[in-house]
Amino acid sequence: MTRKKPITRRDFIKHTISATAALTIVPRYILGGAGYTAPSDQLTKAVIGVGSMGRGHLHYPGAKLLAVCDVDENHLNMAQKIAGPGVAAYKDFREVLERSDIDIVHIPTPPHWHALIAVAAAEAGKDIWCEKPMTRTIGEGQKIVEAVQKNGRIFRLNTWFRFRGQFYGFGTTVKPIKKLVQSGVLGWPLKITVSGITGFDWKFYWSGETNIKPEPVPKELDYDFWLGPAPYKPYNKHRVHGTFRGYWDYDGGGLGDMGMHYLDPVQYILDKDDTSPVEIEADCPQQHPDACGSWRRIQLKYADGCEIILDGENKDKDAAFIEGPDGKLFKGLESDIPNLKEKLATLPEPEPQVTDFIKAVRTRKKFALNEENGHRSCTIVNLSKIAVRLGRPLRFDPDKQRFINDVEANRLIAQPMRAPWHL
Amino acid sequence: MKNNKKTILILITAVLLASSLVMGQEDVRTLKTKVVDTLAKFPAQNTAERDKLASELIQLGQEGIQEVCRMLVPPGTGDDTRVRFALNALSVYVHRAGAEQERGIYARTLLKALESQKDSEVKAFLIRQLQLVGKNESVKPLRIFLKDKRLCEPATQALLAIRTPEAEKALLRSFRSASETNRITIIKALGELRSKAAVKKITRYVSSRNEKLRHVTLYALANIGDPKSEKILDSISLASSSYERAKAPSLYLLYAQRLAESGKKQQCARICRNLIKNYTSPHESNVPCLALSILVNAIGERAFGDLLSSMENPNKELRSRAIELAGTVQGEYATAQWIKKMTEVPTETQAEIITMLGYRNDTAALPTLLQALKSDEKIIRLAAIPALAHLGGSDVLPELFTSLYTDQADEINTTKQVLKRFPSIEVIPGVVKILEEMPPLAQVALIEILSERLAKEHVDTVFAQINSDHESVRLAALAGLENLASEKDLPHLIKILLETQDITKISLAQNAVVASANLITDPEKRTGLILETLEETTGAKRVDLLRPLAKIGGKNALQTVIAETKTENPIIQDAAVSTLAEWPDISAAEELFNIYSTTKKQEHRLFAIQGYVRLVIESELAPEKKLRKLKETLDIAAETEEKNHILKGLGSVKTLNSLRLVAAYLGNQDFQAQAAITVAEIALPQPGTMRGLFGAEVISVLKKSVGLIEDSYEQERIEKYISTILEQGGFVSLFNGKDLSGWKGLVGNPISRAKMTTEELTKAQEEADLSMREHWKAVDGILVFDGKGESLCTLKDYTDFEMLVDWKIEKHGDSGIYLRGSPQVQIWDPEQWPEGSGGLYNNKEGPSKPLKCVDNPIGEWSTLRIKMTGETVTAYLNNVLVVDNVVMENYWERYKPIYPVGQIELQSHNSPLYFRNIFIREIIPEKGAQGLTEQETAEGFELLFNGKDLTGWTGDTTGYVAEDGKIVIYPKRGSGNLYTEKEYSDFILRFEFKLTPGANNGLGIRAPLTGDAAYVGMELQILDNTAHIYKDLEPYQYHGSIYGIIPAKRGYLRPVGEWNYEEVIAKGRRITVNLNGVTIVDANIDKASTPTTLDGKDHPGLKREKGHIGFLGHGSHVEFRNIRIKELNEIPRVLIFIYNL
Repeated sequence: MTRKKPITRRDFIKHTISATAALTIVPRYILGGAGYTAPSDQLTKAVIGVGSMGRGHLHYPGAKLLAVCDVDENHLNMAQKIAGPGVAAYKDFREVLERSDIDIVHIPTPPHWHALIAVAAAEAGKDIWCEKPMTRTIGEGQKIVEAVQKNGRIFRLNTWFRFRGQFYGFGTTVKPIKKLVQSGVLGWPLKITVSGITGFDWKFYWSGETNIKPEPVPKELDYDFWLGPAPYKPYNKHRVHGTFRGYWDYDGGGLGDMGMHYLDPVQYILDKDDTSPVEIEADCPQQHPDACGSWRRIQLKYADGCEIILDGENKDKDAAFIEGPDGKLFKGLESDIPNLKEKLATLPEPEPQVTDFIKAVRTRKKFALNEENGHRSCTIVNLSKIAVRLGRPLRFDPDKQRFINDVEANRLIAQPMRAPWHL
Repeated sequence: MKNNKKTILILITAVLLASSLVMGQEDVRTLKTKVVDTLAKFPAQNTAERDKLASELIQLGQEGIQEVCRMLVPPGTGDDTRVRFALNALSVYVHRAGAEQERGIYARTLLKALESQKDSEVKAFLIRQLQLVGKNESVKPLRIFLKDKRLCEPATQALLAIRTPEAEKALLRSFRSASETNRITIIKALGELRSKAAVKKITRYVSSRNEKLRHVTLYALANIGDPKSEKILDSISLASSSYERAKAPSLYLLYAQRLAESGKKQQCARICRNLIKNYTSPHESNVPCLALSILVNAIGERAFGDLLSSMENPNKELRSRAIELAGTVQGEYATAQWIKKMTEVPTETQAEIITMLGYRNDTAALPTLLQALKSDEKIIRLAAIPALAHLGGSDVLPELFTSLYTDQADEINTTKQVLKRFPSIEVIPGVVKILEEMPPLAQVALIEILSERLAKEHVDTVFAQINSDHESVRLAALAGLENLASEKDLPHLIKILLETQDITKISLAQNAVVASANLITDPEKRTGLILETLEETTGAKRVDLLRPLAKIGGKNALQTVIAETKTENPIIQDAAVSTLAEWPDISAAEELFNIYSTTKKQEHRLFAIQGYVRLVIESELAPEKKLRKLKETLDIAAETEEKNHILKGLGSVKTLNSLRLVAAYLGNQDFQAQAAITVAEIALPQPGTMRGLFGAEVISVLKKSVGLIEDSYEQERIEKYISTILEQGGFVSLFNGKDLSGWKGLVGNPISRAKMTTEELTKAQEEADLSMREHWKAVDGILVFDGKGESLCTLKDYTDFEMLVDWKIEKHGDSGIYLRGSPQVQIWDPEQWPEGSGGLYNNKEGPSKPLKCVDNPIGEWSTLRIKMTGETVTAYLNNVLVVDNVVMENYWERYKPIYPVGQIELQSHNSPLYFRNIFIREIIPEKGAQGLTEQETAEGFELLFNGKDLTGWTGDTTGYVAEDGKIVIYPKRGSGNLYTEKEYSDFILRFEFKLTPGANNGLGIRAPLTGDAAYVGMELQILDNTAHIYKDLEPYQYHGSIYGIIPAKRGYLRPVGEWNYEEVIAKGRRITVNLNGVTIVDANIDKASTPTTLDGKDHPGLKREKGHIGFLGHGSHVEFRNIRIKELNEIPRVLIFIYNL
């Protein structure tokens, strides 16, 4: 590829600045060499999307914040105030990505922006920390996987239950569950029920409003930019900050909010990180074309007969979290298997995972929850969303990542983006 | 006479309507009526219902669907929610398999609607439906919109979804005449379609001055991947924008990938290799990664050399990428090459290759990995340990054990982690075998493995290490015993405990003692040996023996510990009290309370109260008992810290009384923070398990606590719950927080308004509304008045109602709430008017002052709850009764009673005002309409009770009496059943009922005249759910439930003493119950009783197809009125009716 460029004065200054930056700021590890880590070897980051979630991200340890970015001036001002001096503010994320002194990009925007920013960040050579849900559609997820892997980037999806902390209302971490399932004590195939009874509550208050009236766009917000790839619809306060989850264009209601937290560990427990369910069925009231509503039950089946039930009504009062032919596992690791604790102790530990993002970036090892398994987990959420919206049983080919014999469902797999945005 | 004819006609229509479904007769409704009837049923509650409704619409044909489309309105100009639901239902329905014809009809109708609709947003909605269902028929009509500024984007998206060659052609054809903005949209789409035909047409725009146009053109050319574009893509970096330069290699490589996909693999490889060579800067390290990925993807095994040589690249990211891609080339030859490569690269890279070999699943690499285990370089050894374990499995365990023979902590730790990945049966024998001969650090790791694996059979091996020469090993062994010791080891462990002086080791030994003692089967024998030893022990060692008792428990142990709390040695006494505070069961509670109420030692008090509160809330005691015990301690608590601790504990007692107790502390600075948190914990529902508390008092307490809680998420949760309580209690919001919908400006007064003509009033109202909008505004969810205009009035008039409103005024502020258009419940500054707010200020005869002054300080929110029924008003200010059932006098016409109906007004008195959370609940008046509405008559309802006597009824006609238009059951007179003489099968029954406290009755349906209707027929419960006596009923016993079979939703009954409205629909096997507008039961009785009923009893009555309807007495006073019924599908009756005409 031709690499000459005409150098203007502006470019020259820019070039000189970044060349100097390379000597002082750019991490040494990138240059290779035998495990060299100087104390000044500081990773740097930018946060794109500084609404309430993003502002909570400004001071995560491990990397120094250099830039914040938002299409809402109020958010930007607030973030800059919290971040303190020396942190630059941008409206256009592409300008952030052009900065060669930034190593890591955080993406706590609403989900309809995740794929675009993540792919652009990967192509700009940044490592990525992305909030859940990973994407709005399955197609967007595939693009992230491709861009992140081909560009050799490290990607972290930010929900951590598969490797640390209590697994929501379940009362233990995921590790013992994984051990137990992996050892085959419960038999196979397994049925997993995610409901309030088994420790997981669905947040149905993330519903959209129907028949919303157009309102004037507040002057601090660039609404067109906020919408980005999403279809244009007249502005209303409820569409944006804080309540965007209630609209299919940007997220997926309670499923979008909690789905990945609850289901990512399930994929891991069932050892399905490289595949997806093949049959999906939802029982729900009819959904509005624009606003997400609630649902009663979603059933997802894998090719080997394993099954996930999302019980939105807490209907099955006796449900075990995991039910297999040889035993059941309830909230708090209760089980009908005698001497479970002793049995657990004799079982081998699962393969280790890299759970320190900064370490993953430095050693170029895949983070425990990355673009690939994250995409598969998010696929469950996105499959469920489509099943709820279409309200008919669907069959899915996990290798091709397409629905079988369903044109309309396939149109929802990768929805077109509004120009000029594209993946 | 004329009127009569009309009624008959309506009746005929209604009857025909009802009968057409069963009889297949012609449906005579107009198309519009049919559409509206179907629309009214949206949104559907499930898929089957949705598809049924959609098929109804489809059957109405193009014209019918066209009619639906016509009802779309531009956003903000009306409510077309149901229309949008309906169209979306169609969009989904016509896409099912085998419905191509219906899809075509629907798509063409959408296109037709697009022609006639004017509004862009409506058109955009229609196009979005085409994006779901459109195929080639839609391509041509959509083309028109590619010229439109607003609709080009949705039309393009629809064409992209249709994705046929025709769609591509449409885009290509519209492209030239498109505006620049639309051209961007179209070029992007052509790029996504990889349209070869577009290349020639779009290439010129790579040099456009419009940056966006340039970007999408470059992207499109790259994605299309036509060799004609290579030169352009190769030289993007010459372009002027830095964004374009940064993006250049990605686009160039996208192009390369497309080349490979179209078979031009060598060209692709050339580009990739060039980029790998040229991009060496650390800022661009992703570019060679990308190039390498595309290269390997394109030429597969032939890129193996590139993978190998990448290992010499200083760029670590590229090396990692190559390692990840190594799996694409399998086989022993490749393995050998990788091993050979190791000799040519730096140590760090060697380690990377070793890791890869371990996960590449070719056992040919085993010898290399075994050798690496003995490397002089630690980084290599560390990589080799997990790699070898993964590749070799249990066969290489002996070699892995040898890598423990070192003093390097990280190697030992890595090996330990690896060993844990084997099952006990494989790894434990080896661990035991080598334990003796290993260096101390490794011994620690091995002991930890034995302990974690609960390898009890090897407890002696670990006991032996207690006397190791190395302190770290001794500690590890002692710690390990907790998991390994059995009950027979107890004497040994006690001995160790007594001999140990070091504080860490004492605690470890205690853990082991506890674990071992707890293995003894008989709980009372567990502490036997410890207590015996305690008797023989003197001095400080007694403390060490006392502590473990708290984790074992038992009667004897408890007595001993209690005795020790009274010993003179202060150290032992302290230990005994804290041991007691940690006691595992409620048996220690009494003594803790004793200590708490008698001791003078502050430290002991704190221990005692913490232990006591914990034991009480963890106990199985009934909530009232827990509450009583905690209240008792609260009464004698002296210190702030103690009280706060008790308040915190009360959070787990979730009853109204507990809430009241805690609420009393909201006003006290020392306790309000904790009290507020506790209040929320008590009142709010717990996820998945429990409903929250209900009622006006709960709302008032929660409102107080919101202001004291700092966490904004928690505040929001509480606010949301308050609205839930209100909505479930039948309240609706009068103020949406966003605008003034539902409100109007003030025109004159009731007298002057009455004198105006309609025209005058309309005009005056328009002016008043204009002025209102200037002075009343919705700001951040608050209704704000600037102090300068007139009062604000509700659009609606109200008769009897209960309302809630939060208000706030400034200094000297003055306002009030007008009821039925009349002044007023007073609001003002108590500094000027000390009697305070809330009184009926304009009363001359009756009381006009509030009972108490309970205003919150000026500038803070106060809450008014006003209930008006008939002429009387009751008001609570900040939850304190200030007006007690007082007759409100008529201010406008003094000699008249208060008007029966009118608007509610927020009074302007020339001072700034603030209102929020305005909710109202309409109360069905005592004297409701008796008889059928016009609509009901038209629909075929009949009165089941004539309002005068019990004609048509049979059974207990002494217990039930007809009076004042009601059927009333007086338990003193009888408590039997009152049945209709006639039998009914499928029907809609509507009636109103009023409960007395604790009332119990039932609605029998399809019942015989004798026997217990709950079993021989069906009984729908009629019950005061709120009565304390019913708190432990089964879910299927509460109001509305089909007794024993189907539970009803709770929370929708009006307060006792008010009329409730109920509708029961029995249709075949489906029973639906609506209570006060909410569906509380909707179930199929067959499904609900299969395989067994909820109560497990036999309900033969479920099988009955018809029977009598009746009220089933259970000894309580209950009133019924407005009882009417419509029979469903009764064919003979319809025939007779028609025949008679």
